[in-house]
Amino acid sequence: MPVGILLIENHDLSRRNMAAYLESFGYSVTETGDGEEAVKLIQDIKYDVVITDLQLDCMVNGLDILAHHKKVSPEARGILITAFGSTEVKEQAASLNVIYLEKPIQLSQLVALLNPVPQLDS
Amino acid sequence: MRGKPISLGAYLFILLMCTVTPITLFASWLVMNFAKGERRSTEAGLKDTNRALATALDREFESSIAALNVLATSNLLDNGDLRQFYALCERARATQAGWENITLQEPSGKTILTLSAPFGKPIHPIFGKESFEKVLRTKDVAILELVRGSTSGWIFGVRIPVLRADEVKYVLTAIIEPGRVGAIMGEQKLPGSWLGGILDHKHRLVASTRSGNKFIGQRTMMANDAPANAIEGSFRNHNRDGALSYSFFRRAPFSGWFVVLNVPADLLDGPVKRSLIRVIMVGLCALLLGSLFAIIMSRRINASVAGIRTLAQALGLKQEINTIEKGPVFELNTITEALYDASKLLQVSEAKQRTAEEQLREVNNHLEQRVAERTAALEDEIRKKQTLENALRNQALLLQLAHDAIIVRSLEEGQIHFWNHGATEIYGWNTDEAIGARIHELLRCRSSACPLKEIEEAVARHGRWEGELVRTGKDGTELVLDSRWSVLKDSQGRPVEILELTSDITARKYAEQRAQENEWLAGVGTMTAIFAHEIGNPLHAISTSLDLVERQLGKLRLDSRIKKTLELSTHEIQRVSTLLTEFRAFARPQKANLKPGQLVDLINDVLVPQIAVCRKSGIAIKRELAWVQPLLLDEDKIKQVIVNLCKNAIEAMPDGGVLTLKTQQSGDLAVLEISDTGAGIPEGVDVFRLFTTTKSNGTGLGLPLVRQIVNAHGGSIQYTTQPGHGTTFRICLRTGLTNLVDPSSQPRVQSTTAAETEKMEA
Repeated sequence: MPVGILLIENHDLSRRNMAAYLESFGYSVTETGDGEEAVKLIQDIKYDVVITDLQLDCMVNGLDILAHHKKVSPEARGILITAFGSTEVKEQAASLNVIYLEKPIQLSQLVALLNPVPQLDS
Repeated sequence: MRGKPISLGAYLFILLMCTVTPITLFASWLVMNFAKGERRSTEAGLKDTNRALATALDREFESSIAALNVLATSNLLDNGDLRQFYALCERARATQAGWENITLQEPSGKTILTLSAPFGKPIHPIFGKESFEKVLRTKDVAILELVRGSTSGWIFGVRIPVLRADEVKYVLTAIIEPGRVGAIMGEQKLPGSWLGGILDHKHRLVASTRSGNKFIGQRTMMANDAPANAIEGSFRNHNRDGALSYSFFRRAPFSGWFVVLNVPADLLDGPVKRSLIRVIMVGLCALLLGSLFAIIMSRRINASVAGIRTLAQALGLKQEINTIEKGPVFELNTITEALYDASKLLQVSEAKQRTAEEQLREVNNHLEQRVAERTAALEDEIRKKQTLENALRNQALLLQLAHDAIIVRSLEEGQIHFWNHGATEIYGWNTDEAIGARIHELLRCRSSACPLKEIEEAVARHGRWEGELVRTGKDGTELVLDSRWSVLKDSQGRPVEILELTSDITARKYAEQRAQENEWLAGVGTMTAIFAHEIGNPLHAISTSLDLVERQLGKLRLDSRIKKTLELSTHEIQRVSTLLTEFRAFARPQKANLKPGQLVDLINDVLVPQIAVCRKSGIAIKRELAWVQPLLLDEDKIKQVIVNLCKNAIEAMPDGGVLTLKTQQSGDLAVLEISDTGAGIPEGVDVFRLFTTTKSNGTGLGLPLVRQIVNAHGGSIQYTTQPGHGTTFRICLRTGLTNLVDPSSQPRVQSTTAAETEKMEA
């Protein structure tokens, strides 16, 4: 079973590019631009990795989603991507034990971070 | 005088002994001599008396013999008329004193006549046959020794031969009573104490001046005591009463009888003895009296000496001496009087001194009073002056207290005449150093900030000037000053001095500068944040697009030109990405998250990835890392500092060189030096200023960021550079895990030198 990735990014071009790129490496990518939808998805489906942008133009931000995801699947991994981070955000990411990346990111670098990703028991 | 001192009494006693003993001995000798003379004269008297007595005794015998011879020559005996002869004899007996009897014997021994019996009556037998026979034998006179007569006790007598034709016809004897010789002694009138005695040749007592006839006929002790044939002599014996006596004897030459004078021994020995005793007694008495006198004298002298000592002590203590006791010794009295006089003189002199002192005191009091009056007057004056002076002093104090520097200096020379405490505080030079110095030599002006010529012109024209100056203090610190100059004029109204009132506004200026800078930085930060965010998303979209395209096209066999274009596009995006990263880093508030760490470990961590880069550029890395004490730091940020500085250093040496990293402990500071051997930093470039760069592709963000991080650690950064030789950045961080330095502490700007540009941030 392929690695399930939930990709949350409100910048459509970026999201599509990333999803396509990851899928080309065989990952199963669920993409959404809405944070609230993402929360629901996490609630329903178990994802191995959640990759999310910080600012999502809605009530929740990327850190909230990752925190929620950690609650649902404590062993799952998360990657936070932001165009403008801060020391606080970086620290919060570290406290959630998720990877913090700043835009722009090289997708080859992202793949290197995902591989190997521990397989979740289905 | 040496030896142990002895008391005066002992001296006096010795003196007494030395005087009394010889006198006593001499007196004894004199008395002895005198007594001996006495004795000799007594003895001589005794002997003379003896001689006289002996002569008288013999004369008595001779007169008796002469009387008998008259009878013997009588014719009556020739014719035998004895009756007539008897009568003649009777007449003869009557004339001769002491004659008791007259006898006439025939040579046959027959007594033919005796007067003791009437004529013709029976005749007593003959007495003294011995002397009778001697007469017959010698036909000469013989003495009839003492015999006991027939009737009247002891008798003696003289016998003479009656010679007829040279034949002894008869022997005529006169019997004499012993009293007759006793009478001889009576005639000599012997002294009462003398005992006279006459002894016959057989030493029997014939007569004595005492005791009557009691001891007559008894043999005396002369037989034992006197030498046998001695004519004259003396001996000592006990007399019949048992008393000690001296006996002087003399033998009468004719009769051979002895005259003896017995005197008590005391008569001869007594005077000598008594005189001796008397002399000794007198000597002893003198000694006793002398001793007593010596004792008394020595006591009184001692008392006098004690008195003198007391006086001397009193004199020494300056005590008053009222009475003196005179002793028995004149000389001591003289000393006492001298001491007394000295005491009196002392008292007089003391009294004089007291009087003088009193006078002095009076004068003194008078003077004091005068002084007090004068003082009061002066005090009044002084009080007035003081009020004035206080006012002046307060003014001076105010001048001194002023934080502003107040300097007065000459117009032309700039020689400093007044320099207040505020000036010392601001410039560092103290008053002694400043007064007399020339102001422009003492306080150098930065020429660019201090147009002295213009100022002086302004002062000359308007009499005042007001503006900002930059001067160098004693410690070389550049000071930004707000100064107001005024011309001071002399009494003729000529300008002579300039009064400078100056405030130190360095801190204010710096704070203002910092505030401006911070404000500006904040603006820059906000702008950068917005820019980063707004750029970040589209850039991300482009980047991912390129990645995806590259990924998708990579599966196809593409023209190499397209591939190259893609690569270049990716590279450019990376460049923008790096720039964005720097912008972000700078835009973030540099709040250090301090944790204990070790600087040297961080350097090693950072340096490892640089090694490959360096090798590529032909740069040698030199590490001189001495251990430094642990310190509080934000590891990520300090790493960034080191990375930035190393990167700068490497980029400064495109043709190779040496990158040196050096750490050392200096006091409580950890010092990190990062040096390159590159081209150096041109003069006049403030590399810490934002967007200032010497690199073609530099952003001008790196070193301002480094400074922000170091400041956030409470540390300092400075650099030295020599164009063509390289640059050294020097970071100082406080070691220790407790003392955090207040990062808001006031900074000071340091001056520059010609050869080295040095910039320091505190």
